[in-house]
Amino acid sequence: MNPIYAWKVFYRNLRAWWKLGWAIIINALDPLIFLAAFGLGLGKLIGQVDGMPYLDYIAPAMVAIAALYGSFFETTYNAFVRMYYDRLYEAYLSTRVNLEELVIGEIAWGTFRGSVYALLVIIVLMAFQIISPPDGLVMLVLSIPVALNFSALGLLMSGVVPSITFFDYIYFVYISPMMLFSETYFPLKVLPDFLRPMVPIAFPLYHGVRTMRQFLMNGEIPLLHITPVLLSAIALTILSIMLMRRRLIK
Amino acid sequence: MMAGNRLPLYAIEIRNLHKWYGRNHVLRGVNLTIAHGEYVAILGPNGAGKTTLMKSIIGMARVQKGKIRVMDADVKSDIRKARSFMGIVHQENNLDIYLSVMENLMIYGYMLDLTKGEARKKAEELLEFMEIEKHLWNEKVENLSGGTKRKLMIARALLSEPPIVIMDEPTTGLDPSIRRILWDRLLSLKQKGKTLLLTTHYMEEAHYLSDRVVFMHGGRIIEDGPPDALIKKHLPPYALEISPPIEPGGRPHIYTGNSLIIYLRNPSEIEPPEGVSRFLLRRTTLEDAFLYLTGSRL
Repeated sequence: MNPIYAWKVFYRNLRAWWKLGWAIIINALDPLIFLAAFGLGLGKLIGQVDGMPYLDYIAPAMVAIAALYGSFFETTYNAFVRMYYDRLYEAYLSTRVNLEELVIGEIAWGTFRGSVYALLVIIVLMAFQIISPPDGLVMLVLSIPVALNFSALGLLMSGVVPSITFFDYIYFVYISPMMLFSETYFPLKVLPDFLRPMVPIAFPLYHGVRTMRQFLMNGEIPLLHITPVLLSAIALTILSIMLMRRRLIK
Repeated sequence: MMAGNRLPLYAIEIRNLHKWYGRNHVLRGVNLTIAHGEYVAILGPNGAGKTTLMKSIIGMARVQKGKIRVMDADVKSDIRKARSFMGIVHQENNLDIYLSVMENLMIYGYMLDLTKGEARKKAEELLEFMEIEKHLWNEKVENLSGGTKRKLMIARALLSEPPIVIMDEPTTGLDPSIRRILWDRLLSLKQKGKTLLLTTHYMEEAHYLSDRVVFMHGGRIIEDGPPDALIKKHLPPYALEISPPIEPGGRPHIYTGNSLIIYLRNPSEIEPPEGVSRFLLRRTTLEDAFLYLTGSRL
């Protein structure tokens, strides 16, 4: 595994992405719309949650969701198109790039996109003085492991799904509930007893949200939450390599 | 590149290669050697194993049993080194549609470890060599014709000046005039000492380009040799297509649908019988030899 070749895959994606122009920020609008709807709209009705204004409560979750969106959608739909329809992986693997480097390059690229989306949300939060610039910088750094985790998860899915439509099912069955139940819009304590212990196990986003929120609340980075995100990212990356190998080199 | 600049004995060496997809035994002990500078075509009907063989050589199919060496590199243990000797043109278009013609070559030059300057110089040379007009160089790939895309794929495969070029059905789906241009370009590569291994469905292409053809059938190599010698080895020089079929009279023959092809030593051996709708005498071709040996159409 030579990281230079992973960078070359990353660089190709950067070049292609840059050519899209203004369209590159479109996906980041989604968390911003949720922020406006829930924070400014619903937030006025709710008042305070866990001792803080509702907008402040959901703001860190929106950063984590943006990291998820940018990375997961990049390594599912977009990566699948590159692999299956455009057959670019076949072309990369005809150069000096090997499979591990291809997978790492794609996961790194997904992580970058997730972090860029998180940054766009952070900029909006800073513009509305919901967070300070130094806090925004730390949150950007914290968004990287979150994006890495979902980037690896996305590529793993791309390694197994038979067709692109399966990503819709994954979104409805897993991603969408995760975005709703990971302490994003309401605290875990309001869930029924039997559901509560399942959330930290099933939904890695929960740990990302908790990490960001705890940092904003008391300035600490909770190892209890950031560690599982990192461990999960490593495990998912290894699994992605295995599954992509099975898919591409039969 | 080689130790002491000595070339290994073969450009490509395949020994006892087996491949299974589940229970399907698709390659059954393939042995093949290709000399430096040799042009070899692999022919076979769908399912013969030729694409799997090509994929095994370029490392896109796992070698389960047997050995493949490309120059002095073992494909299984050092695929990066093996690929450094090969320029690969895949069956399907896999150009980067988001990038321009020149950007495609520059990005792949980068992935092939060329510097920016080297990549640009080689790209310009190859675009001229492949007769891709200058006004298309900054055009997006998606706007190119099928023939130009294929030319670009070949140019891309030649970027790192590989000694071996691997092509999986390089002219499938192209019109005859473009096919001729590509053949001409590929033949001119021979003067540069390249080794070429290609698969094709077109007998004419195999005959025109290759020093040797390899017939595959049922995962095995059933015949291997120069095209003319192969025809001569198995069949007389003339083929008579006749419909409806008549009694072949002990001569070599094959049935194709409602027709019979009888192979003759002498063109005047059979006079046109009464009541036949088709009576066509021609030279025996590579396709006849393949049909005769396998009973399968390509």
